[in-house]
Amino acid sequence: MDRHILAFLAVLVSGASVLASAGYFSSPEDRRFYSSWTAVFLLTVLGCLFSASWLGYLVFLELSTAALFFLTARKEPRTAFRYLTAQLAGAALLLGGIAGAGGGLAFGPVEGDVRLLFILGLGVKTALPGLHFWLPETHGRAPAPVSALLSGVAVKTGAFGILTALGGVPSPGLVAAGAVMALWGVIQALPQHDAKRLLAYHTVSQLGYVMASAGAGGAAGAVYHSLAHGLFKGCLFLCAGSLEKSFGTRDLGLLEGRGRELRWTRWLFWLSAAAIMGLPGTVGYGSKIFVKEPLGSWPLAGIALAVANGGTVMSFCKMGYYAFGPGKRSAGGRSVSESGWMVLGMVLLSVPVVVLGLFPGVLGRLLGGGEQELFSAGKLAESLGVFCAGAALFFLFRKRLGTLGELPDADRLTDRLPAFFARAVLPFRRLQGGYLREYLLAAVSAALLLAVLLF
Amino acid sequence: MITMSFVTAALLFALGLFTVLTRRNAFKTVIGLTLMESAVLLLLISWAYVPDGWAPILPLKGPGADPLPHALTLTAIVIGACDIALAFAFIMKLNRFEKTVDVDRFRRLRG
Repeated sequence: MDRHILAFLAVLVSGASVLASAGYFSSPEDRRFYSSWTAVFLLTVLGCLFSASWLGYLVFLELSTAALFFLTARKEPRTAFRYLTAQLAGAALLLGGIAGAGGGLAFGPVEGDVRLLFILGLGVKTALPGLHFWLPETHGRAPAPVSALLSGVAVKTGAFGILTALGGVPSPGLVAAGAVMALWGVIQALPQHDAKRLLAYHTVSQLGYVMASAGAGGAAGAVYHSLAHGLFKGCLFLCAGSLEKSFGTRDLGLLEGRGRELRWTRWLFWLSAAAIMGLPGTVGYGSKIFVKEPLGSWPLAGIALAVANGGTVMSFCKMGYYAFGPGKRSAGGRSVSESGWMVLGMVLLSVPVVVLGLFPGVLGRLLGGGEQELFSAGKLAESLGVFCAGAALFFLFRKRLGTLGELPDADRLTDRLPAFFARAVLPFRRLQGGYLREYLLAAVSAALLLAVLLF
Repeated sequence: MITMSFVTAALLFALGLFTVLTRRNAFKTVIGLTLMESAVLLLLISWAYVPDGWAPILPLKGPGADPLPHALTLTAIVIGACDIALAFAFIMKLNRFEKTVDVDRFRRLRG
């Protein structure tokens, strides 16, 4: 059932992304390009989810990476190349794992030492701590409909792979990694000014929930939260795209609350923000309960996730306040319009957010997560309490938050790698004189040397 | 007698190498490469020499010559002709875009 639910998510997010790209891109060539490559992406993701062997999974996963590479490379070639390099490195690890396990491994639980290679390789896809260096830049810089695909679907296929490789066996390391991701993502997201980079760090944070649940043996919670996160984060990225399209910037400091003029975008943003905060009535409420359920024997991880949830509330209060809150109107009373296609895409994702939020038990039963009282007083109080604490903290430290500097992250380190490699190969580049006669001399002497050595 | 053949091959190869290393004209470079190629083919054929050998056709009238190096050389001659045609085509392209056939002035491979 897991793979059917993720396939449903992939179809929905791809559909919304195609709709939104009709509004996001102005030229017809761009629209055609993005919708056709999104279809290719959807096809490969479905192949990945329904593959029978690990090798088939890997092939389809890399094909989906290639589709995303082309989708990103049209506007952001440098970012796309970095994304591709990071993903191929992960794929190499995974391929090593598959080869170590004997090649034709059925898509299912992996035993023994090669499991570490599987987790590391897929960890690049799912942004485990330290391996997440590519994520903020890629998700932040790609065009908004592509970011929705990246954040809504692409990382979920990797998470599904980790879930399958574990096969329900608890893994304390993964729980710890998930808790660290959840906290680190929020800590990094709080000082961000770029709306999409902020959302990208929240992807790291929310993937932490998925990983913690998967590590604790709760496959139901992991898949539930994957679906929930795909829906509301896809919608949030489209909101950021709508802001960018209408005002030409996604810097929260420059928006100054002008987003209020985009009526639909504003309401759909607050709906998705409520979902990511885990408020009752949205899909995030039920999914966070199912994530926390298997974490009973890991109280520290549970506390870390609760703190991360408070930080998420703060961060989205900040984004909503600066993008849609009180501020100046645009000059001359000229009203800014929003694109109908983008609104349609956001609505397509918001409907399941509300429907699944009102009936959270349905999906829980489908996933075999067990019966439990979802709207009990204690759980409602916890959700609302975390929300109130986060919102109060935001309004208390609003001024401080605006001036907070960004902490150095892993991508600072990886940004230096190309320059380092360029220096390392410089002596070899010097060998290239460009004189044809030198090359011929080198070739002939090599051949003569070989002849002398052989006889 | 066969020693003369080996010496000729060595001289031919040295001549080709000298041409390639000292001439800057791309046409002359190709001529040098052709000379070196001929030297190698001559070497191959000389090695295959069987004293008092007969054509290896049944029934044999004496010691048979090895047909393999001959077939190989024949093939190499054909491939060499194609190589030269390709090289001349490249030189024509080079002349069209760079307005020169001087190989020292065409240094885009420089690191």
